[in-house]
Amino acid sequence: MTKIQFLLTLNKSLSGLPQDEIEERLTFYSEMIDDRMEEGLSEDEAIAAIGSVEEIVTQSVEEIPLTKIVKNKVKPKRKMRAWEIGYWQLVLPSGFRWRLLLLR
Amino acid sequence: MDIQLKRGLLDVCVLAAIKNEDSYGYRIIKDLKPYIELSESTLYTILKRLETADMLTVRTAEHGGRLRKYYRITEEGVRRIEEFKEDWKEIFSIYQFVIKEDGKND
Repeated sequence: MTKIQFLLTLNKSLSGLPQDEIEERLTFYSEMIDDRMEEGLSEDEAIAAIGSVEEIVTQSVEEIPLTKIVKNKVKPKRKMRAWEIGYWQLVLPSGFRWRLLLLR
Repeated sequence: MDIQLKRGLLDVCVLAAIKNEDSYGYRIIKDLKPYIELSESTLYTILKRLETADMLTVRTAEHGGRLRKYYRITEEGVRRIEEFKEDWKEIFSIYQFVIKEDGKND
């Protein structure tokens, strides 16, 4: 797999997240791959060393607060008020699997 | 190692790695490798958390024709390291107590 293919796959897998979050991660992992290659690793070795796309997505999903994912998905016609966000947090079950569902 | 314990330690480890000079992602992982294993995705999360907590700042600089992010510790970050050192003096005396009690005959 080339670096570009890896980043494209990652981009696609993270598509539920806000755009700025996706770009930040792509920049981060691209830098990591470049640094390893600069040290002498091949493109394949560098990509293998930084973890699989699955691992990265798992870590991302666990860390993003639920409110951010919901806000991005729902995209209301007007800005959500604080109580509405609180309401959704209460109503939606918390947990990892739910976040994954929302990312689809 | 207990996961919760490791999580708390990793934050301070990263701060220690950038205490004396600015560093970048891959170098931080290499510097910590002899002491604690750290994946890229975990490091990403830690760096974001430390930035939100104002314990480090980020800047982008040119390196070999591409861009690289450099992390610099803040006063708040230095304070966190001092806090860690104090905490662990306490933990060490608790450790000594546990060892002592554990070693007694029933």
